[in-house]
Amino acid sequence: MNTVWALATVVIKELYRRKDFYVLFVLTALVTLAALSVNFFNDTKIVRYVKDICLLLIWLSTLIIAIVTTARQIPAEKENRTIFPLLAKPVSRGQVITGKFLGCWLASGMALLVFYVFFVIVTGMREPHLQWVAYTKAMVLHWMMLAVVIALTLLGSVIFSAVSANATICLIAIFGILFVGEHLAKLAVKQTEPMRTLTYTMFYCIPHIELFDVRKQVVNDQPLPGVIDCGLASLYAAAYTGVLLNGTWLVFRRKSLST
Amino acid sequence: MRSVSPKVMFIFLIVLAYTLGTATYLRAVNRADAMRPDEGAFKKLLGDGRRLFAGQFIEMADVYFHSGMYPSIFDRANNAKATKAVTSAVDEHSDQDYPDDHTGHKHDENGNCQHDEHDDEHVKAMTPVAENWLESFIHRFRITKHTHLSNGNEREILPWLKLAIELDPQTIETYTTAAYWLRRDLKQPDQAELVLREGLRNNPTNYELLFEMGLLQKENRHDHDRARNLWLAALKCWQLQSEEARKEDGSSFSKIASNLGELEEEDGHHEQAVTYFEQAKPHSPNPEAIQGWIDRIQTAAKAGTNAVPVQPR
Repeated sequence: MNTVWALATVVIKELYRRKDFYVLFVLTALVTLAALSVNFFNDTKIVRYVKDICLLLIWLSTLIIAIVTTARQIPAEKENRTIFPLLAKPVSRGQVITGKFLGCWLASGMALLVFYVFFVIVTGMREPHLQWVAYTKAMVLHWMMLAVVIALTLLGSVIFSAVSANATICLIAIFGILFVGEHLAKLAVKQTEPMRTLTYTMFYCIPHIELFDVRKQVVNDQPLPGVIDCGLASLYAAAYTGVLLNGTWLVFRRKSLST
Repeated sequence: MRSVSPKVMFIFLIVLAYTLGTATYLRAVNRADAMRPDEGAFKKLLGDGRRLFAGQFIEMADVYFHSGMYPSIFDRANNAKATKAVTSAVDEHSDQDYPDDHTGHKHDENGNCQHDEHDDEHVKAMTPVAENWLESFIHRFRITKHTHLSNGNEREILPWLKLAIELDPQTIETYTTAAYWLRRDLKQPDQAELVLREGLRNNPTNYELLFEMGLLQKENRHDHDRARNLWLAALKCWQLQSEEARKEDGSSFSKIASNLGELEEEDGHHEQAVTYFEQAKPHSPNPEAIQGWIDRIQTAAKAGTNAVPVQPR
């Protein structure tokens, strides 16, 4: 466990040394504050559009941070040839995968926390009472979703040779799931065989990360799913993360490390 | 007299030419700006292509109005007929002599839907249906309760309407919707008037905007003279349309004339009121209701009372 933790801390340190997070945070803050400063009909109580814009930017930024940070982990180790001394120590390939995943997930979680603190501050400027429970649930669900995204990107990083290819493919896949994922069953009904079976299979196989997106509830002050549902969703995310990490290990353990 | 160096003279002339040129240009630009209304940042950035996005922002306002519960494009494709009742809701209300709501359907004072289709078509179109266990699990994380904004929260739709106005200044529905909520539920008639004035600047002869401005003068400012003048102007603008356009939009004429009739009735001008109601009747989708008004006014006039008859809406 110490080995995994040591690998994870290196990834966390890398996040705050690189500029990605700072650039995206400043961009999010600037756009949100610009939106907040707009005067609509002299009504200072209008807040939902600011929450909407801020949460959208948080989702985009954290997805980019998680994918870009994860995508370069193993290729960078291979390119710099640091993977050889790393594996020469008593560190297994499975531990490398677990450490990299844990590091990326924790680093994304830290970034997420900073973003959500900013969101709460901005919302608090216009809303008299903050919905702490709803915000916490939204953040935890968001973090669980990032676990699946990171595991998927890690799998991509051992399959694809280039970081850019992996990041692009992962982004397309994730946006595809977010936009169409939950509607695949409706699309399948309209298809003819064999496309119908194929679409249904895809519907049941893909990780439905869109279910973790509760922005509409947060923006419109609607009740969020209960603790049991959130727990089930977390289990769902954990199951997919486990499957994807296992797949990554299976590919990586037989992979040649020479570039 | 000391002679001036040719170099100094040359520099002086260049500075003079530049100053005169700049001053003349700025004056010309100011004059042009004064003659033409401000086009806004969207026009400068996107040109006419901005109109494509305006509909999206109106839809966003509707999403906010329904507190985030809204059918996706896939749900709408599956339920085209029912969805039409939601999306073409604004057309619906224009058929009424007395529009109650600018989201297209009537609501009571708590913001609950009042129209007949609400329980069936409207809710059905808005509510997603789960067809398997995975969809029902996903729906647990979605908004499934059909509610409308109320108690002043209607303000949340305004940013999207404002953006829609900026993007497409020729869509009248956006001005009237924004003005309606501002003057009625948010108690901001001044802001509503500014919206309508902007609409009239961009669409100077639009009778719907004039009608809405008349409503504002009557209901919020209680200024019957201004309301009358605005509605008369609205009638005039309606009549200036082509024969075909008048045939297509007779309900607007009926709406304006009925409101004029009601105004005259309130002011005690019974004969004038009857005249307006008579004009409205042939164009109304509900001529019996108009005839009811006429009968009641005539009965009240014969009885020698100024009591305002109760009109079933």
